[in-house]
Amino acid sequence: MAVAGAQLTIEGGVRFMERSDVERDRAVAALFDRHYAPMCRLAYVILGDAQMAEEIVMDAMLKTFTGWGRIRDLDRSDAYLRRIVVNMCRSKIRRKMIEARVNQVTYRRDELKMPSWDPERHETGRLVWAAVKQLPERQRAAVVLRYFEDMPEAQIAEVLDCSVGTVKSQLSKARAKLEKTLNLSLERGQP
Amino acid sequence: MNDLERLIKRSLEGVGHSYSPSDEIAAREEFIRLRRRRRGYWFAGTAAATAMAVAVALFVVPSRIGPPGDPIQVAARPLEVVGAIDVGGAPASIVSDGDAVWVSNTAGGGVLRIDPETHQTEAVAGWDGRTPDELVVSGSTVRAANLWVTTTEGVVTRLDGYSGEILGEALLGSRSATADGTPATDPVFLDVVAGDGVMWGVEPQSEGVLRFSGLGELDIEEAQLSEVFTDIAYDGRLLWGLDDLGAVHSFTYDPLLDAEASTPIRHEGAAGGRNADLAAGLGYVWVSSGDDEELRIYRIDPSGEEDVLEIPLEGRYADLTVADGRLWVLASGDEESLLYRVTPEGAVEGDPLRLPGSANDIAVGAGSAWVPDTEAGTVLRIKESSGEEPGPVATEANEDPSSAQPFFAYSADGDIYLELTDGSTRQITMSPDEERNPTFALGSLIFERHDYETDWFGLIRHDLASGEDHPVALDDGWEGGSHPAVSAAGDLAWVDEAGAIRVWEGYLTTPEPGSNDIASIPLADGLSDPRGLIFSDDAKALYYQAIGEGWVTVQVPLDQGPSPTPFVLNGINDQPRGTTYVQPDDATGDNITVLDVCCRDTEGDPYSQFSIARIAFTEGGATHEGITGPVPLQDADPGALTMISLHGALFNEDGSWDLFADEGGSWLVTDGATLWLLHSDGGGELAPDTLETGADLHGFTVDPTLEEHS
Repeated sequence: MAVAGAQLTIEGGVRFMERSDVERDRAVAALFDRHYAPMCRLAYVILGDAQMAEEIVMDAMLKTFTGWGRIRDLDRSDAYLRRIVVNMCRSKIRRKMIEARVNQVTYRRDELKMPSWDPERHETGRLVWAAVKQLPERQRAAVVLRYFEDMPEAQIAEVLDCSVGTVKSQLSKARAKLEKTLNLSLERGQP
Repeated sequence: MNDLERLIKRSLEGVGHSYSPSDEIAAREEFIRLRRRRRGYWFAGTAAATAMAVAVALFVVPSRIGPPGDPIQVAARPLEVVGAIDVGGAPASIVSDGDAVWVSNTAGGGVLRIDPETHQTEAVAGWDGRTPDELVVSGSTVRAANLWVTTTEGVVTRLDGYSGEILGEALLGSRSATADGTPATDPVFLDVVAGDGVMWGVEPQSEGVLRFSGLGELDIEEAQLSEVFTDIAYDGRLLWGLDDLGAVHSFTYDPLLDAEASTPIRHEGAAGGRNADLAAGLGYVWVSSGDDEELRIYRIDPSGEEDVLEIPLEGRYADLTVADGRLWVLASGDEESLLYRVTPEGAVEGDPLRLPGSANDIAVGAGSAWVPDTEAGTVLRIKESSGEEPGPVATEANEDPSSAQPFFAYSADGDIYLELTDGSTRQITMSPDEERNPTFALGSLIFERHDYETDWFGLIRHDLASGEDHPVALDDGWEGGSHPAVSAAGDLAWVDEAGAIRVWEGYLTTPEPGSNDIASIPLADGLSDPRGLIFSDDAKALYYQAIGEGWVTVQVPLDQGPSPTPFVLNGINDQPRGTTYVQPDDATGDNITVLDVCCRDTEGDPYSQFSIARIAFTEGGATHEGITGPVPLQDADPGALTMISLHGALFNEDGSWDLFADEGGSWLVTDGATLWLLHSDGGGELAPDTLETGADLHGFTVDPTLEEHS
C-alpha cells in the first residue's frame, strides 16, 4: 500500500497539521505570495504564453499546497513546486506539439507573446527566445533552468528527475542547436 | 560561460523580467478559494467511511418497514454521541462554517467558538443586556468567517468569527407599533440566512424580506412583498421563503433586485401548519410541519411539479439542515429529541439518534453534527459510529468474467488498484505525471506513457502475471498512441499521432510484432479529436466520441464494414466520455448495446451541470433515448468537473479501500473536491448525491492519506 499513517509536516519546529485551518490558510497565502510571481515567470519563459503559464502555476500550487502531507519539508516546497511547474510545462509543450502534428499545423516561429517586450530594442533577445522555444521540451526546460534560474546541473537533474550526465548532454545538444539556429536566423535577420 | 551562454542568459532574463503575472491579489484569492474547496470540509477524517456509508445506503434497495405510513428506511451506520462540551449557560443557536462551531448563550448574552480538535471554547462576543437569538455564518475567507448574530432586542451584529472583531452592527428594533404609533418593545425574532457578505431576514410581524450588508453601520434594505414570511432558506443560488399560509416561494438571487420574482410554487396547508421549518438543497426544498399529532417532512420539487414526497417522522417540531449530501432533521418532542438523516430520495438512514430533552438547533461541520443541550448547558458532538457495519451492499456482479470490467481505483501516488473478476486484487504503481488512461483486459493493463527521460511517448502493456512492462510495438516500429481501449476478446484500439483510430485485432492473444493485424479506421467526414474509445461488451463494435458539429458519438461495427452516420449528441457540449453495456430487447430478444455518454454541461451557470445521453444501438442504427439531466451540481468547480466511471473506489482512513458497484444507472462525478454519485431513478430523472470527502479527487486521484486532513 502506498500510504499508511498520518504524515505530519514540520515548519520551524511546529507541526503543521496541528495548526488551525485559518492559520494554515494564512501560511498558504504567504507561500503563494512568495512563489507565485517567480513561478509564473519561469513557466512563461518556458512556454511563451502568459495565460497558460499562470494557469499552470495556479494548478501546480493547488497540487502542492492542498495535500500538506505530501510536503515533508516546507523549506523544500519551492523545489517541489518548481518540479511540478516544469513538468507541467513540458507536458503542455508535448501536447501542443502532438496537436500541431495531428492538425498538420506548423508552429509559427514568430508566435511570441511578450506583454512588455519591445521587439525593436530586443531583437537579438527575441531571436534567442524563439530559438529556445524550438528546442525539444526537455532541452528547453534544461536551458531555462540553467540560464534563467541559474541552477547548477545537479539541481536541474533533480527537477527534471534525470541524471547529471543527462542534463549535461541535453544542455550540450541544446547549445549546439541554438548556435546553429541563431546563426541562420541572424544571417536572415528574422527568427 | 562563453559568449553564446551569456547571450542565452541575457535574453532569457530579459524575457522573464519583462513579464509580470496579471492581478496577483485576485489570483491569490482564487487560489485560497480553490484550495479550501479541494480540501473539503465535511467528515474530513472519516470521509471515505462516510461516503461509503452514503453509497451503501443508496445501493441498498430501499424497503418499507413497519406499518403503512412509516418512512422508507435504508441501512446506515448508526449515529452516536461522542462528546458533551460544557459551554455553560443556556446554549441555543449553533452554526458551523465547516472548520469551527459557534454557539449562542441566551443566558450569558454571548457567543462562544468551539475548537473541534480540542473542544476548547472561546468567547468571541458578549453583550450585557442582550439576548442572542439566531446565528448564521457566511463564506469564510482567508482571515475570517462572517458570523452574523441577531438579538431579540433587534440588534444585528456582523462579527469576525475568529477574532471576535465587530465588523458591522445595526439596530433594527421592533418593527411593530403600538396603537398610538409609538414603537413597540416586543422582542424581535428574525429568521435569517447568510450569503456571501450578505444576510437576509424575515420577520413574522411584517411583509417582505430584509437584506443586511456592508461594514460599520450595516445597510438595511427591504423588499416589500405581499406576504408575511415565517422562514427563509438559501441554497447558494436562490432564496426560498415560507409564507404564513404554508406556501413555498422562490426568489431570484436577491429579492431586492427583482421583488416581482416571488412566486409561490407550492400552496398546501399541510406544508405550512404549525412549527414549520424550511431548508433548501440537494435539488429540493424541504419543509417540516408538526403539531401535537404528527410531524411530516415534505420534499418539494422546485420546478413546481407535483413531486411532493411526504416523510412521516416521530416528534412535533423539526429543525432542518442540509449538509453532507443529506437532510438532517432534528425532531423535538416533550422529553426527548430525535436526530434523523434523510437521503435526497427521501429515505431515512438507519434509526434516529435519541437525545435527552427538547433540542432546537443543529449544526453540521468539522466532521460532526452538533446539538446544543440547553438544559444541561452543553453542546453534544455526534458522529457516525465506526463499530457497526451497515447492511450488505446489493451488487450485481457480472457473472461472465470474459466480459467483466475490473474495478479501478487510483491513489495520489499513482497507484492503481484493480479488483479482478476472480475476486483478487492487484496494485500497480504508475507515475501520475507520466502515465495515464489505463484500460484492462485478459491480465494486461494498457496505458499511455510519456517518458521524459528518453522523450518516448506511446502505449505500454503491463503484464500482471510477470509484472513486466512492454511497449506496444508495431511491425514498422511505430509506437505512439493515446486513448487506448481493449476489448474482452483482447483487441486493442487507440488513437495514433495522426489522429486516426487503429485497431489491432487479437493484440492481447498474439502480442508479437510480425503478426500484427492492424486496421486503420478513418474518422467519418468532418470529425476530429477522437477520444473516449470503448468496445462493446461483445467486442463486435467500437464506439468513439469526436467533434463534428458539436460532439457526436460513432459506432463502428468491426465486422460489418463502414460505420453508420455519426450520432449527434444534442445537449452534450464538452469532453464526453462513454460507458457501454449490452442488454436484451424485451420485444425482439435481440441484444441492444446501450451507450451512456456523459459530459460536463457548460451552459448552466452559475450551476455546474452534468448531462448524460443514453443511446441504444441496434442493427438498424441508433435510437436516442434522450438526455438525462442536465443535473445541477451545487458549488461545483466547473473547470475541474469530470466523470470518473461507473466503477470506482474510495479509500478508508486506515488505508483500505471500498468499491462501488455498478447498477447500470449510477455515475461518479467529481470536481476534485467533492464527489457526486448521480443516480438514475429509472424514470429519466437524475438525482445527485453528494459524497463529500476531504480527499483530493481531482481526476479520480483519491488521496488515501485522509487522516492528514482531519
